[in-house]
Amino acid sequence: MAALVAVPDLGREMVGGLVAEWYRPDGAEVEPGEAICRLECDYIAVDIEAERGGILRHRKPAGSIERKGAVLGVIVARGEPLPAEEELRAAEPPPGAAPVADDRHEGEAAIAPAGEARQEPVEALPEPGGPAPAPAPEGTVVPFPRRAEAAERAEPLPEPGGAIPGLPLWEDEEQRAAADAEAAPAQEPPPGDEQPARFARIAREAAAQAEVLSAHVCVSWTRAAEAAEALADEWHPFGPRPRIEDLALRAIARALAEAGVEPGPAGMVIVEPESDRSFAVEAPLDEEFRRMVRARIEGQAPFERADWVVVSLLPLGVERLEPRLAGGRLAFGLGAGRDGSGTITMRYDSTMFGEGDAGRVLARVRSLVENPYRLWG
Amino acid sequence: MTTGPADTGRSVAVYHLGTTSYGEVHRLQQRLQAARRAGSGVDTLLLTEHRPVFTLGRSHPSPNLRVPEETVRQYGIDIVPTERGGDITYHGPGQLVAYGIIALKGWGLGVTEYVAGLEETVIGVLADWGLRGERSERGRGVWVEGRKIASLGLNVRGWVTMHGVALNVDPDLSHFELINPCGMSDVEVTTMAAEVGRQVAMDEVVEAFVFHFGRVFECRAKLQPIPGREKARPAR
Repeated sequence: MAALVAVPDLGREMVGGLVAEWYRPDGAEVEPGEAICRLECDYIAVDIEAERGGILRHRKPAGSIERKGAVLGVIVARGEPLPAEEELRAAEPPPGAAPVADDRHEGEAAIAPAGEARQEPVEALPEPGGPAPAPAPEGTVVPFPRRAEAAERAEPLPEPGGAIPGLPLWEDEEQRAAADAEAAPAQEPPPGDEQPARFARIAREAAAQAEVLSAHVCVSWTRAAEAAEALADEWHPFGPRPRIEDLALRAIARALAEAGVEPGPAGMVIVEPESDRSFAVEAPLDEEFRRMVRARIEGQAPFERADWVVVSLLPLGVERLEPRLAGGRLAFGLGAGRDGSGTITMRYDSTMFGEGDAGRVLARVRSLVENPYRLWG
Repeated sequence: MTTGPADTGRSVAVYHLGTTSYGEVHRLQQRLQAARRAGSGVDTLLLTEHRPVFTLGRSHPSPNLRVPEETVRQYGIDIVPTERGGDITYHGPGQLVAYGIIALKGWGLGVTEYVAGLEETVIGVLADWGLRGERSERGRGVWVEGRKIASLGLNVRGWVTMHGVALNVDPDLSHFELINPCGMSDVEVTTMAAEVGRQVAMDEVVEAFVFHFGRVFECRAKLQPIPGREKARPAR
């Protein structure tokens, strides 16, 4: 039997916690008693230990916020199949007073069962004992009646943190992959299916499943503005006096470089949708950045060839930039709120980053924006 | 000193370590926590003052400073990463730090109840000096009239706690100005001495802390002698 890794109950006041870090990657072999995950809640860091040894599979990515009792992952023996998603859901406490059955057929079912329940007593009149228990088996007792449906609706693991994207993970996905393979045997090269072909197929599948996700982090623009003011003299020789956006761009460029994201052939591209100008920078760091700032005034270079796109704008929502993402893979939006606070939003291709990595990049950007002294040296 | 009803069966060994460096006590805590998790050892409360140090929580690995890192180094203050929750904080002489290594399962306590108990303990200590400490919406810890006087940070593994609470008795406040305590830039930090308006003796605060810890958690809190330190303690 697989051991569950769940959010522990820390006390009455606790509602949930942040999955701050998986100490061990998805698929790692863990020893019993080994710390595998850190959960944080309000100044408390809890190291969750492995109940038994085996292979650790993540279910929730680092950076997600989960309620008390939520199953974050499982530990299975080598070769043991993963437990069905329904079993895991059943192990979790129902959200509020709603029965477990509810989250299985979310949207449409919220109305449909109500209708059924109303009809039920009419049809079931002849059997006096029937009416009350009858609706319940609908949702709970019958083993997995809507399983295939649920698999259609949403993949059980939208974002397997740390796993190779596109590799089938859970039973449902494995079944689907097997079905796909059966359905289209003619297209695939027969048994001698070589490694490169297999990798190409995985890459294709990953690209097909890729989604544009977004993450954001709160920053204090007041601090950034103060720092930009203080640093104006250092920036002055190279271009216009720095604005917060310049600082943010530089911070983003540094954070991405540190995260090992290489700019594509067209380098980094700045788009200003309001003026509909765009310009590219070959490499985002240091002296190249001066060129970028200069290019900013002149307004040149197309952005279509870019592998990734960095967008700098203050008031606009990043969601509106989705079309621009067709060619690129990464966008940042800077949003300003009242009282000097604001957000940096990052929209990214799910094949590019896990959520944990995205969070780390954003945290680094914030740290650099608020302490831009570190951008030098 | 011994307080509290014995019928809860809870007891804690209290060690007053005097002035220590952060690293040595950190290692001691890790050893005690490991022993407690393995089922040996006793519940322990360590009371100490550290030499100046900034410590970082696990989720905020880059220091939330108000000045460049080099400036901090020039002050001779180390920056140490730790496994507790929360953001950057400062420890230094004049600040009473209490680390509880407690097996919560044995005490029948949840982690949040334990944290609330630590705050309650500090509020009790402050009351002994005529100060009204309170909890705040702004964050965990204890506040006096909107100024932060005690900070919290905890690590829990296998239901054994580590780290704890830091109460500003009379530390050098200028060191706090180098950081954004707890990651908040608008927090004003205060001390017992500043609030009371006269000197506050650390030994008395320690005594009060042990008393209130025993009262709040209904446990037998016993101050243990430290070998080789008896002579240094004033005869009573």
